[in-house]
Amino acid sequence: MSNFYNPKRTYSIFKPGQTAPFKISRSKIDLFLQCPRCFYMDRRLGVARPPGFPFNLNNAVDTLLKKEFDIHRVAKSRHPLMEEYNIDAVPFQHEKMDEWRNVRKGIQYIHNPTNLLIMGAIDDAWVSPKGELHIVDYKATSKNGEVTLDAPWQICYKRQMEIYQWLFKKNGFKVSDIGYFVYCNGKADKEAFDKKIEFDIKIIPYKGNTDWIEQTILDIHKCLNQDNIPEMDSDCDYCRYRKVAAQESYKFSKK
Amino acid sequence: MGNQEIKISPKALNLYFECPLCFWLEKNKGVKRPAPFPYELNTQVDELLKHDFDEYRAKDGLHPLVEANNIPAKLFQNQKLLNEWRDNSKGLCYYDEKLKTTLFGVIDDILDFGQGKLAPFDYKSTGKSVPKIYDRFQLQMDVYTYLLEKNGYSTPRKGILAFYVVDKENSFEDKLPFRKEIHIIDTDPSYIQRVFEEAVEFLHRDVPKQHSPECSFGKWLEQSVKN
Repeated sequence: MSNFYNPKRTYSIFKPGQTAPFKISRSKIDLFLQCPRCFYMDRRLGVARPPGFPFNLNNAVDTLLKKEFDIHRVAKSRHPLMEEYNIDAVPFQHEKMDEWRNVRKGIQYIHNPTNLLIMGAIDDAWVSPKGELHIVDYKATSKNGEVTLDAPWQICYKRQMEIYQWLFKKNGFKVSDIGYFVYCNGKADKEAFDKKIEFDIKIIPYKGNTDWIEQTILDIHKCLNQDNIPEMDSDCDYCRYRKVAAQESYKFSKK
Repeated sequence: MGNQEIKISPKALNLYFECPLCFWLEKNKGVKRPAPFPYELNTQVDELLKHDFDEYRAKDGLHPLVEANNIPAKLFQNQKLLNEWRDNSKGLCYYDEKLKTTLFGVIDDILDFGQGKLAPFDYKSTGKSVPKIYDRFQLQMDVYTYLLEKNGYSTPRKGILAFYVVDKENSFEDKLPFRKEIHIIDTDPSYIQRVFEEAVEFLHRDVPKQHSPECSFGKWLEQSVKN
């Protein structure tokens, strides 16, 4: 794990007064909303949370779903799931689609008042006959019962969708408030496994509201420019760990 | 410090190797590294595989995957005992009287090579293209072999890993397709008692502790404090 972790990054660090635009990805916006302290340590001081193991199986589902929707993108046809859910749209053809899906590039927008370059990589976009875009995100899990968007932690999924919608609007596209989650739930009740995991796939429409984004970008900019480290969020596992681990080591060294 | 309650798993030993202080904080103070999101799909694959192997176990114990790889073994027939070994709250245990500590492992499955010889059999699922046998897999299999022997079984000193690797060449069609690969590794239980003792003694030792230079959490904490 440690080969992938550099505890003191020297790049992607915000310097107050810098003239070049500073990149903020949608996951960093989410980090800011989860815990401003962790965000500040990461983007201002170069000290990111240590990463966990990658979610290889989820990434594989994303890859395969992209391939599947691409067939319909080329054919300008609806995927059977879109038919099943009566979605009047087809996968969007655009020369930049690959770029938008690339996590290193994504769709970008420079927010002029702050000079922050906001970016995010989408899974897909579908286009209605009226030329309106529906942003699409693929999710994979395995749980009993129906998948929903109702759990409190899923706020991050909703924000993710809303940031993509905002980015496309800012890039001059006509964007529907309705985005779609293609939610794959690995089945638990299979008789035999036989080299595949089967999914129930559900499309969950979500009506996004992008009103919060502008203010959040301003808050992020303010946070990056301040000279003191923000308070930790009381729910932040990383800050709690940092505090307790430091306390225990301190108590020990004073023995 | 309730030593009797401390149970050591291969994962804990791995943590001890990776960073003794993180191990010490977790076992003595209950200070655990922040947990990532759960790996729900991997858990599900494990569940499905257990179910699948149990069906073959109930029939005649011969599994196509084991046979296709010319492994002269049957699936361990004692389902009741296996269920205990699979149970997170029980597992395959060895209580060391001298250390007053339990070494245990929660196992996926066991292959029976005949004449009482048992070998640990573990399912691994990955979305990477090529399966990799990490050091922690080796340690895991070495510990399981040790535990089997401590429980009075003989072993062929082998660990069997069944890799389920996502086949990304295939289409999706509502399913994640896997190809299967068996890897057999030699196991060496000879050093496990020593490591177990060393790790438990470390928990009782009264020396200043530092994170290992390799520890990503230690590096993160150190940088955090500097700022």
